[in-house]
Parts: sequence; C-alpha cells; structure tokens
Amino acid sequence: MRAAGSPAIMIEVDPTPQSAWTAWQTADAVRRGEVSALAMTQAALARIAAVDPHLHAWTLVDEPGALAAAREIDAARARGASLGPLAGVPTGLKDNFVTAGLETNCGSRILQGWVPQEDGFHAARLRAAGAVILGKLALDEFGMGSSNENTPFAAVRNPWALDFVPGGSSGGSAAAVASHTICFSLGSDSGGSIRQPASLCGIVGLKPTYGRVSRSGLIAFVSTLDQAGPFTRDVRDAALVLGCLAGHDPLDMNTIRAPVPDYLAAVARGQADGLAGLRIGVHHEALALPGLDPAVRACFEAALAVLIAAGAELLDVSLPHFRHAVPTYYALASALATSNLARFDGTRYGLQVTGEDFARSCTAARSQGFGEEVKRRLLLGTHVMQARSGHYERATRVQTLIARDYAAAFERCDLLASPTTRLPGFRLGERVHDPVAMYLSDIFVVGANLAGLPAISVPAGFAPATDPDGADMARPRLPVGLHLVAPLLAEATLLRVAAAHEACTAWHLEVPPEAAR
Amino acid sequence: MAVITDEDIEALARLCRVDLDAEGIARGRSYLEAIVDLLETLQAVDISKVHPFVAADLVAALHDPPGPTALREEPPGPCVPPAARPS
Repeated sequence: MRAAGSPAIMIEVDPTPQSAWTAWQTADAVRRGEVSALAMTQAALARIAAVDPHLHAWTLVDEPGALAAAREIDAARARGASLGPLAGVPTGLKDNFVTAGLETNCGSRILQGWVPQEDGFHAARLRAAGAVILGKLALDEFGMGSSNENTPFAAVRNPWALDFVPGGSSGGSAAAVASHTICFSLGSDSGGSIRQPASLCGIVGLKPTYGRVSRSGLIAFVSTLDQAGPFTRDVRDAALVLGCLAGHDPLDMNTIRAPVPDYLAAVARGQADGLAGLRIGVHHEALALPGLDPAVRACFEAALAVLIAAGAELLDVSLPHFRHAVPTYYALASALATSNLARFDGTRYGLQVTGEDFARSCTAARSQGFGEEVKRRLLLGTHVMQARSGHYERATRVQTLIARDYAAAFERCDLLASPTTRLPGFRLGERVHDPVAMYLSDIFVVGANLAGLPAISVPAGFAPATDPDGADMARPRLPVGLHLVAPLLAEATLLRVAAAHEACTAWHLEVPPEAAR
Repeated sequence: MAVITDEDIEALARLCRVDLDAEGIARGRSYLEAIVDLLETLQAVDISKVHPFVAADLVAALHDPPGPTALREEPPGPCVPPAARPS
C-alpha cells in the first residue's frame, strides 16, 4: 500500500522500444515486415501484465483472441494479402462497446456476465482495419462520471500520479494509452468523456461531429449526444483512427452521409504549412471562469502563443450561454439516461434477482445492479422529465441558444480554443461527496456535445496539482490539455490546427512514470 | 434552495424502479436539492423565442442527400377485428 503523495511505484518491466510506437509507426513496421503483429501483441500483453495491476485500466484481457488475431495478420502478410491501415496495432475498447465473445458490462453489476453475440460497428471496423483488440477498458458505470470512481470494480488510476484520477468516463481508455500498454483506444464522449480524461492523462482525445461515427454497438447513455472517438498519443494517429471509423452506417440512422475527407492530409498540411489564414476564437467567458487554475491558464496562453507563431490569428469571441452548458447537459443527459437504462431490469441481460413477483424481481435487480451514481441520475432524470418541473423542455431550448452561440462565433472564426479542464487533475476521493463540483469539471467540454460539434484535446503542458484546502500534500506534475472546437464536420480543420501545435511542441512526447519505468 | 421531501424521493424511486433505504433516501434528497438548484439557474435564460433543439434535425440538415435507412418498412395494416382480440 502506498501513502498518499508518495512517489510512483517501480514497474518491474523493461519497456520495449515498440511500446513507444504510435499506431501509424506500428502499422508501417508490420506492413514492411520489420516486426510481426504477434510480437507487438505479445509485448503489449506483457506490458499490461506488468503495469495494469497498478492502474486498473483493463476490465478484461483476451489473450487467446488477441494472439489468434495477430497470427492471422502475420499469415495474411505472408501470403501477400494487402493489410489494413491499422495492421497489427494493439488496441482496446471502452467497455460500453459491444464485442463478440467478450463480456461487455459497462462497468455495472447489472450487466456483469453479459457476453454479446456479435461485434458492434466499432469493433468490426477496427478488426477490418487490422487492429488487434486486446480487451476491454474501464469506465464510470454506464459512462456516468468524470473520475472513473463510479464503479463497482477497481477505480482506474492516473499513470502520471497514482493518487490522482485519470478523468472520466473513459478513464481506462486514456490510462491504457498514456501508460504505453497500447497504441490507441476507443472511448465515447457524451459530455466530455474523451477529452477530459485525455487532458488529465496527457494524450490526444478526439470527439467527432455527432453523426460522423456510428453509434451502432455503443451501449446508449445519452442517445442524442453520444459519440465514439479515439485516444492516441499523437494527432496523426487520431486522424488515422477517425478515418477508419467515419462514414455512414445504415444501422445508425443519425450517421451523416457526407464524404469522409482525407484526415491524414489535413495533419500533414498542419505540420508542413502551419496555420496562415486561420482565425482562432478565444471566448472570454472561459478565461473569466472562477476557479481556473493559474498554471492551467499559463499553459493555455503558451499554447495560444504557439498557434500565433504557426500563423493563426486570434480573435476574442463570446459564447453568452457558456455557463449554462453544465446544467443544460445534466438535465438532458439524466433524462435520456433514465430512458435508456429502463430496459436493464434483469429479464434480458446480466444480473437476475428473483423476487415475489415480476415487478419486484425487476426492482430488486435494478436496486442491486446499479451503483450509487446511476441511481442518483435515475432520480434526477425522472424528476427532470416530470412535466411540472419544466426542466427538460427548458433545457432543450437553452441547448438551442448554446448551439446558436457556437454558430455565431464560427461566422467570425474557424475554430475555438480554451483549456480542456479548469484544474490539472484531482485526487481519488477528493470530489466523490460533492457531485456539483464533479459535474462542473466538465464546464469547458460539454458545450461541444450540446451543439453536436467536433472537438479535440491535445497535450499543452504540465502544472502542479492543485492543493485542496491548503492540505500539505505532495503536488505532482500533471498534464494540461488544449481544447479546440470546430464547426460541424470540420474535423480536418481541427486536426490541422492540432497537428500544427504538436509540430511546435514536445508535450506529446513526455512519458508518465508508469510507462517509463 | 430547492425543497425536496423524502416523499418526493420515494415517489421518484418507485418510478425508476429502485429500492432506497432511509439512508439512500436522505442521500438522494441531498443530491437532488443540490442539482435542482443548479438546474434552476436556467430560469434566468430568456427562452421565449427559442425552439427546442433536436439532434435529429441537426443531423438531417447534414445529410446530403437524405437517404434510406436499414429500418424495415412498417406499412399500416387493418386492425384486428374485435372478435379476434384476446379477452
């Protein structure tokens, strides 16, 4: 057991050079035959075995399945077949993505033991692209949380400081990539659940436009806001993975039919040509936010200086309803989650409890199967949907105003920039008894979900951990993210700017203690 | 400060089909009071000339051209005659 604030523990494993490879480097090496998919998979499995007992990022590791998939890729190469863009790249999926033959429980006891019969869209696309799925990654129960503490299983820890949260709800996906156990992972983002953990773990997290990537096979939390996206260690990988996932899917009627641009070309353009002619808006409401950590603000201003040096022009813009985004999100998200979770009653999936009659069996299964935070959200969602409260309808109208604010801002600029989070991170347990403070962690990121916009968080520096209540605790150095939001379907612009920023900085090359040892 | 009673929490718990003990009810009440206060901040927003935001509208606007989905057709058919309905 480690005392609070003590240094990170030693990991008794020598990281292979390949563990630092990105997805595109790995796929290139596998295609050229410089390394086998099997060797990459075995190395990744060894790192998981060594590192994950301290991080708890993985809920399930499918060693036999991963090794078999890797052997198939090597066999395909041996017979001269063309390999996909993610050939031999080890990966993992947040445990709310449906995967054939692999338990998918959404971090909830109510789905514990449920094994889907078929792959969802995301697992199928990744396998078709040649990726090797090693297993499933931890999350806040049903995606409800910002710290990965809302789980009946072990809470995920931040690879930069084990006493700190990795963010949420896709904390396992972020920690697994940050600790170099895999090259990339998939997460889902309904209210910042990709970008906030990416920021706290010092990696890249991309949420596409709502409808750019299918939701088929992503267990619904907030159907009108849910979107899948990648966690990666550089922007090029984010473009690579997005290119494999984007496009129309007949099984999700909300996917968009627009052609998929060449995202890798956008990255190359940002790296080579900079940002001349691009206008980046900074909304002053973000910088005026109470509680914005001065060190986070300093990192953000340094990132803006990088963008200016790359040729961008900065503009001051306004999002007048910015501060209303969090209550709007929680009204809508809780209502939709209550509706989506109504089907989990022990009759079709997971936990079954026998009561005196059918109704009492359902209630017993839900009472025993759902955790504390899920029950809270069910209460809130049920309250919000009561007509007399008026909260739901009001929230849908405020959502319109928030979307209009973004549309007005994008008439003046190409992109919006802000910090991803107010603080560099917080300790495990620090906010579990203060849900409002926990929810306000999402202030910079929920607006993009409410307006359906694409957004990305990229590494933008480090800051000492905030000292809660003046407590005399060690203040480790934690990552800080730069948050960029683009107009609908402008992922290419987003990636171009992120790549230009990355080309002028080295934050993405920093390695957390848990990966370096 | 929002006023939420234990009876409110018990009624909500029944609607969402979860059992709460006395401690759970107290925690639920404390939580809901805090969050409803947060939601009440939206009362300050003028929504008199605003329509509700519907994500499906947003996505439909991005479809060019709108296309068919994989959902099967459900053409309306004749009603089951009263005599054939289960009692």
